[in-house]
Amino acid sequence: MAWETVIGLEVHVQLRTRTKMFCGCRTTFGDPPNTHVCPTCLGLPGALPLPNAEAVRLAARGALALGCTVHEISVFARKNYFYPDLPKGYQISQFDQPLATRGRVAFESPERGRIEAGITRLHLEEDAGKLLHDRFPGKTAVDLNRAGTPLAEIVSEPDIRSPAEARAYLTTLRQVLVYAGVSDCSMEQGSLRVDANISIRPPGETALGTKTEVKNLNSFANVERALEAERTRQIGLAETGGRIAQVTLLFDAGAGEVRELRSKEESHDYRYFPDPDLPPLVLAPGWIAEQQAALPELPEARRARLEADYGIPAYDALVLTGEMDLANYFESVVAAGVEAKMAANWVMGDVMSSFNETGGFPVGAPRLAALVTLVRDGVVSHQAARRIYAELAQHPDQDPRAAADRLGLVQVRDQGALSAWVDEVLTAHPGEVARYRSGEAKLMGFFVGQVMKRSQGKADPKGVQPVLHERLSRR
Amino acid sequence: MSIGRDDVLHVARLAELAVRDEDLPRLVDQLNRIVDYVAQLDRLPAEAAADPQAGESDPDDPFLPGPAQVTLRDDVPGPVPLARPPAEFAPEFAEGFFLVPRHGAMEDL
Repeated sequence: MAWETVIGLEVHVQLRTRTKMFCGCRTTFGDPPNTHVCPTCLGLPGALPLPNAEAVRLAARGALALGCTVHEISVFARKNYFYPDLPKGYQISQFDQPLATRGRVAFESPERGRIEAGITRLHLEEDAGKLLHDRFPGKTAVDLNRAGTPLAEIVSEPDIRSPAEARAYLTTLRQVLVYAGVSDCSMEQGSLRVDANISIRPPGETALGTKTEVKNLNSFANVERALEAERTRQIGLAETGGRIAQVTLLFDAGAGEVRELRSKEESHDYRYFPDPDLPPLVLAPGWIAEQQAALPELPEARRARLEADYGIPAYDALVLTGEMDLANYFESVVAAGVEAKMAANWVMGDVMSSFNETGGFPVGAPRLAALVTLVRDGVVSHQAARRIYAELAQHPDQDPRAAADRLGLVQVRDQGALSAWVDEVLTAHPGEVARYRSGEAKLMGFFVGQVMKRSQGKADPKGVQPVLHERLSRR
Repeated sequence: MSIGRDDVLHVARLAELAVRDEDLPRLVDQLNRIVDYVAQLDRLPAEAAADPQAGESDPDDPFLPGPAQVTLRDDVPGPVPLARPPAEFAPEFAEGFFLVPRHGAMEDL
């Protein structure tokens, strides 16, 4: 039997602020444990929270970028639970009056084409601390540097219908948030975290099945894998007459399996109530309108503009806008005088490889432009340019032309030199010469290749062919 | 309003507190006294339940404790220093970490 999969995602993103949500402690990542803590984020008696204006601005900006309505009045609430990563015994979050509601993310579904997933809500909250279970035998170590870091929680509607769609949704959501400057959305540093809710139902059924929640998803690829595993598990249960229980699961990426963490007991009652330390968050309509007006160009608009302004294929625009930095780099290369399609090819090739490896651009846009111009002008071959690119990546201060000279990669077009290489090749391959002369025209490619080899890639292939023709037509 | 044994046990379970049977009657009594004390607020006339900061009564507005809206802080680092280092007030502290007993099924939420 075919089953319909229903997925909703909760995404936590760390807002790009210098300080925590309710105190002046820094939010820097990777510092020694418990060095960014104060009476407020440690929950010491008498300390009062004071919200970070920048966190509010970034959350509102993210909400507007996702088409949400940002509410003039929202309320901070206490979410109570006991856990060692939560020094106050409650997390300050928002509950029945969140910052923003009812947005959407339009994205390309691998199965259904262009679709939209609704955003139920976006609210502000503070992060918990970090627990280490394996450092001290029998103990859990607590680092509260992260406690109080500002987060936006973005909850989607259950509009997603497959694990692959979940991944596509997350990719698009991340792009929008990075473009809007809300968060750096680095999964490695934990500044984007995903919890996924999944259920199955017979096709045509409108009621939702019992859902399970999958946690511990540290990459978009693992979100997809975990949801595949959980969907398979649920279908297996449903088809053998089993009952799907409402549970929280952890994904074990090594084993590719989900493991039950705990049953979602009904006593998991967070006893939300408005935080008496925090009066309502009131935003002026004019301020909200200013944030809307200040939104930068978002990925979809940029894709359309790159296609229209530079005449590059839709696929290229999609790849280039996948990362905002990549799109910026591409535009800088074009601005430096490189033809757009050629720039796109370079950026999607060697530049993207080094970007994926290092997260940066070892060769600046002006230098790449100078290098590509050398190819256009026939000074170096495309293959040689790739070698020069690798050289420039190691030594960014070098001039591309100087690097070409130093590596001996400048193409030789001098007739004398070309003729000498051609003659050497023809003398060395008398059999092939005879076969060519008896009609095997396809051997021309072989001869060109041999000349390139003999010249160590320096011969200009465009110059080699006429010389070969001329020599081979002589009897 | 009356609090019974089951309510006390429910609250205790939510708070993850163990309650001994012999303590139950005393806790039932104490919680009832607290709830009755707060319930006196219901006897206040409606017009008294207005924003005390506004200086006038408006029965349609709910009572707001404190200022009507939160004050925001600039995103400038300036942590309030701790009076004593964490190692001095933590029950257990090692290599910069607070240490707590390890439970069976801990997870990073």
